Amino acid sequence: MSDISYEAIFCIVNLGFTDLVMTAAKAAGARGGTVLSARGTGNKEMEQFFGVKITPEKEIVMILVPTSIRDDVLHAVNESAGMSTKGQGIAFSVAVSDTIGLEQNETPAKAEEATKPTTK
Amino acid sequence: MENDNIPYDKSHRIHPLVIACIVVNEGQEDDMKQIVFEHEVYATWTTRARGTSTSLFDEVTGGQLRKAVIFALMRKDTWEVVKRSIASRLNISKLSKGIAYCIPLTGIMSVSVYKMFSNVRFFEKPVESKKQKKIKIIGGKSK
Repeated sequence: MSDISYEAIFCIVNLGFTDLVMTAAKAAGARGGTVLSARGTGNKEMEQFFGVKITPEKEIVMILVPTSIRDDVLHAVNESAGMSTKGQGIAFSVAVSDTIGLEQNETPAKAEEATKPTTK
Repeated sequence: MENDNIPYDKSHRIHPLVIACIVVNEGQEDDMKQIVFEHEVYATWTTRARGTSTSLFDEVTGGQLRKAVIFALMRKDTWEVVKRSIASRLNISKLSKGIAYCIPLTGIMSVSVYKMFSNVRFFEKPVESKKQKKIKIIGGKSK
């Protein structure tokens, strides 16, 4: 079990835009993520207007990041796949505890830098 | 019946609940579920997922990209035991690698659902009303 505190970032984007999310997240220091398929429930007007059932297909990207780089990752994801982009993504983070399976040596360089004590 | 109007979380001891999230390679999910079941946790949901490749080799071969995510709802004290079993299972080989973490719940719907997830099978005596902010139960009556 790791001593570093982690947060899980959930990013819900339109189908096919997970690459944008992961590219931005990796640039901000994240390592990898898991993609789940999902379905949106909003936009009822669209369904009624056309008279056919349109299911907005979504994807959820779960990324586990150290708390120290959470803000950087969220900023990066918002810029590349936020609501103003075609990905129309929303992202939020939740604090997680007792993370297992993340090796200390594999933490991103940025996170290590952030946790380093500053010497003057 | 005055007691009926007292919220359950005000009159009983509340066990904090967590949702455990276990991400493993496809094919490993049954073993993980078995570990969870052994600790009397039966509220689990499994879904297929896709891993984002961390190496060019995986990206080209498509290996290790298919994942399974197991969500399990359990008590915090149960998770303390379950996580040790999961940690040892993840270390068996390279193929069984994965990650697991838990997210504390802050609210739950109805007393019966809380009782089901917290595995409260016996009658619990009401306790003195005291300040406890572990989990908020919405709906249901004190029984």
